[in-house]
Amino acid sequence: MENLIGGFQDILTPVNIAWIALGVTIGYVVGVLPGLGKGTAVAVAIPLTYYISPLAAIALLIGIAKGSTAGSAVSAILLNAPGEPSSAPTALDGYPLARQGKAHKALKMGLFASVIGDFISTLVLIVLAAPLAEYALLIGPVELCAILLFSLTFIGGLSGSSLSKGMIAACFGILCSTVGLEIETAIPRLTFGVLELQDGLPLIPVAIGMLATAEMIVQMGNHKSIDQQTSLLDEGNASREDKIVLWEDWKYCIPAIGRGTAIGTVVGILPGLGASVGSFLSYGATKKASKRPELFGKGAIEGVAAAESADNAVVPASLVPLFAIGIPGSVIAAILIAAFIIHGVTPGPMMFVEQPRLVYGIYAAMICASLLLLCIGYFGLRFFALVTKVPMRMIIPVVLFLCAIGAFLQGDGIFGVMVMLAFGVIGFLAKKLEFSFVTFLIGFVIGPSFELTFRQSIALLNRDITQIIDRPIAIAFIVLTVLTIWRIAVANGKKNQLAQKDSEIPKT
Amino acid sequence: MLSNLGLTFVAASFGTAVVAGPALAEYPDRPITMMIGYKAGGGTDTVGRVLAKVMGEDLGQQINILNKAGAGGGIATIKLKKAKPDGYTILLNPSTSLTLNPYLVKKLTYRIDDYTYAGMLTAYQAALVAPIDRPYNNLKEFLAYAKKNPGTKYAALNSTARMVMNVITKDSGLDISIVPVKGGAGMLAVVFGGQVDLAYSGGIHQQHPTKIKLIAAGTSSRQPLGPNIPTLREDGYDMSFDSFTTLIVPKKTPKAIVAKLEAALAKAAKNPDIIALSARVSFPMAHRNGADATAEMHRQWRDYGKLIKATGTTAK
Repeated sequence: MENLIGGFQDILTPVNIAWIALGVTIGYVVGVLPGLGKGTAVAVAIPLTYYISPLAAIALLIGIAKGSTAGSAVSAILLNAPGEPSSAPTALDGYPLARQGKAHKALKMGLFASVIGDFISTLVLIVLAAPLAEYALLIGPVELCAILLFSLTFIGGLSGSSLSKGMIAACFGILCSTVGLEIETAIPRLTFGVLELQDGLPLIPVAIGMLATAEMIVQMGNHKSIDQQTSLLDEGNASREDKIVLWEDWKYCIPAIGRGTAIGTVVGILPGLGASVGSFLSYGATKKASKRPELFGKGAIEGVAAAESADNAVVPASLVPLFAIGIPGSVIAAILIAAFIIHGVTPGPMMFVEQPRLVYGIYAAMICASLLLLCIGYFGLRFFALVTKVPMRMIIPVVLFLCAIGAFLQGDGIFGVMVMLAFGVIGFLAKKLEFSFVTFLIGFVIGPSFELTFRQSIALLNRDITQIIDRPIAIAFIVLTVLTIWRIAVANGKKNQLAQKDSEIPKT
Repeated sequence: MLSNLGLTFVAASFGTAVVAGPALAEYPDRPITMMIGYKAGGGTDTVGRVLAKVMGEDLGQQINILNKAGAGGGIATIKLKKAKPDGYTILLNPSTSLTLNPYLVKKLTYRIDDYTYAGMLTAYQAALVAPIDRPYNNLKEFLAYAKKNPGTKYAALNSTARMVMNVITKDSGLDISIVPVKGGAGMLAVVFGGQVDLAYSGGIHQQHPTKIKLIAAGTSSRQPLGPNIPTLREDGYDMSFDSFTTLIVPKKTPKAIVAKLEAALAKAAKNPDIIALSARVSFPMAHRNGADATAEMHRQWRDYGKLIKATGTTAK
């Protein structure tokens, strides 16, 4: 405990607070801009930190990661062009809310959910890092495969109106994820001789293309009607109810945030999953548990809360394996390892022995970052919300430009931009034909992990499925998967029965 | 007083001095881009970033890192071939991206002689490792264990790792399951969790001496963290996987500029920040100047060629 207080003493100097605030602000702005992502921001910021103290440097970088995860909600809600793939579910309900004139409400809830998820996850990291990391090691490839299988069942809930279209999109996502060198024999799959494809289709350009670029193309077609809508909204002069978060909204959102934070924290601790998986699972879980599922996709504020709390909870939780064991649990954690080492800290359990003061300083910095995130985000809201008043013909080119930059940076040059354009077209067609891009992303993100863990399981179980008896956690998730599929089948059966009955009633 | 010929001679030498002078005196006069063939956060990237900082301070211009991951460092190497040979685009990559990977991947058509080398810095420490609680302490004991326990598991993070196990188990009748893992982090996760009995590591295992132990050294000489653990060669297998971080420039880069980079690298090798980093990531210092580096590249190319032929591996 005294260590933590010492940590706070180190952090609460004006200089250090300024660095944290700078990090959070940069991160938030980068998050708001569609196309630019936290991976690039953190990697680019590392050289900037050479000449400041290790504590300030690491605090700056973690601040950027936190800020951008929260900021990505803004472009999702206002433009339906998420700043990061992990904010894709936020757009599903956030954008309809913004179109209904409730942009302020949605933005505020997004911010609150992000901060709460981030704060609680940071507390979990501080208090429980060591024991949790030990438990996390019990989750080996076999267990992870079962968990991912279970996650795929959420596709059912996220398919929107048509289950079969959702599954087709998911399968297409999995197909796209197989592009690249096959992991066991290094045989190229679907690379068409293009060398850059040997490492697969890069996630960020695909996500930017499918989500942001495609959306901009759709809006280009509609921009006159969108502008008309916006001017109508303004004339009504939004009521106070639509601008703030009401107790009524909190009633729905608190359980969503709780669920989202828990899911996000667990997903963050398990290596290799990432913030997107967390926010998708949380959105799906909240939709399933909701008493008003038909509202999802049309402006259910708890959807925004669920997605944002989860994706922000993943960031501090992904540092648990890094601090406790020394293994990075996410792309951000991996980049942070480099920053740690450059500044003279070897991540892992030895950190606590060799440099406890620094570690607790970092913890204190993370808590400060959460609080600063709330202030900076809230302050920025009123500026960002003004974006909705700008006519579409000015927004679209700017967004497309930012998308191209983001794809260029994250996709290793022009190749990334071409991927983005290709998936922009595919995403446009998907939106027009009402195929869910959410399930596509789930398939694309989970596909590689699922295939890898499946192959690992085959080897680990010595090709003998009965050996799974030794792994109760895996069995538990498989049972859960079967139950979920059965429930979906039953629910569909009931729907069909009702539909049949309806058609049998003679129409008068 | 000078004859016409003399005057011409003096004028000509002034002319060449004026033209050649700036190229030498002014390099570098703007920031340099250092490409790294791997993602941010990896071992090569960490070494590269500190090197960029140290060399940048020495040369008086900032060196910016550009990560160009893909094809085991191959994409960055290909990009370097097309870069302008003016000393403003350089590459830091493991030597195996040029001396081993072209044997494994058809699309990597570049060869050692397509580039010029400014030197080598640190040594990767390829090795076979195991969780610390396993009842064997070297390769011989492991093979005895594997004989008694069919279904022993080995984690392979790339084709080289697989090749090693295939060579070891050829003709031995051992039943060893190969578990694919993704990168050093994936390998660490399964070793820490005790899910596998043996694994191939590029050097990252050295940061966790309390949880992982060395079973065989994959390099041509024994490793600092395991002085009594034999190398694969000493265990009777004709393989070793030496690799070094190498500073590479396009072939036609002017000799004067290469010399400057070489000098800066040599100075960096004595820099306390670099030495501390090398100790922290346990990649021993292995500095070589340009000429020695080039010789080493050719030696590796020959040795890997022999190894590939012996194992019958083909390029894909």
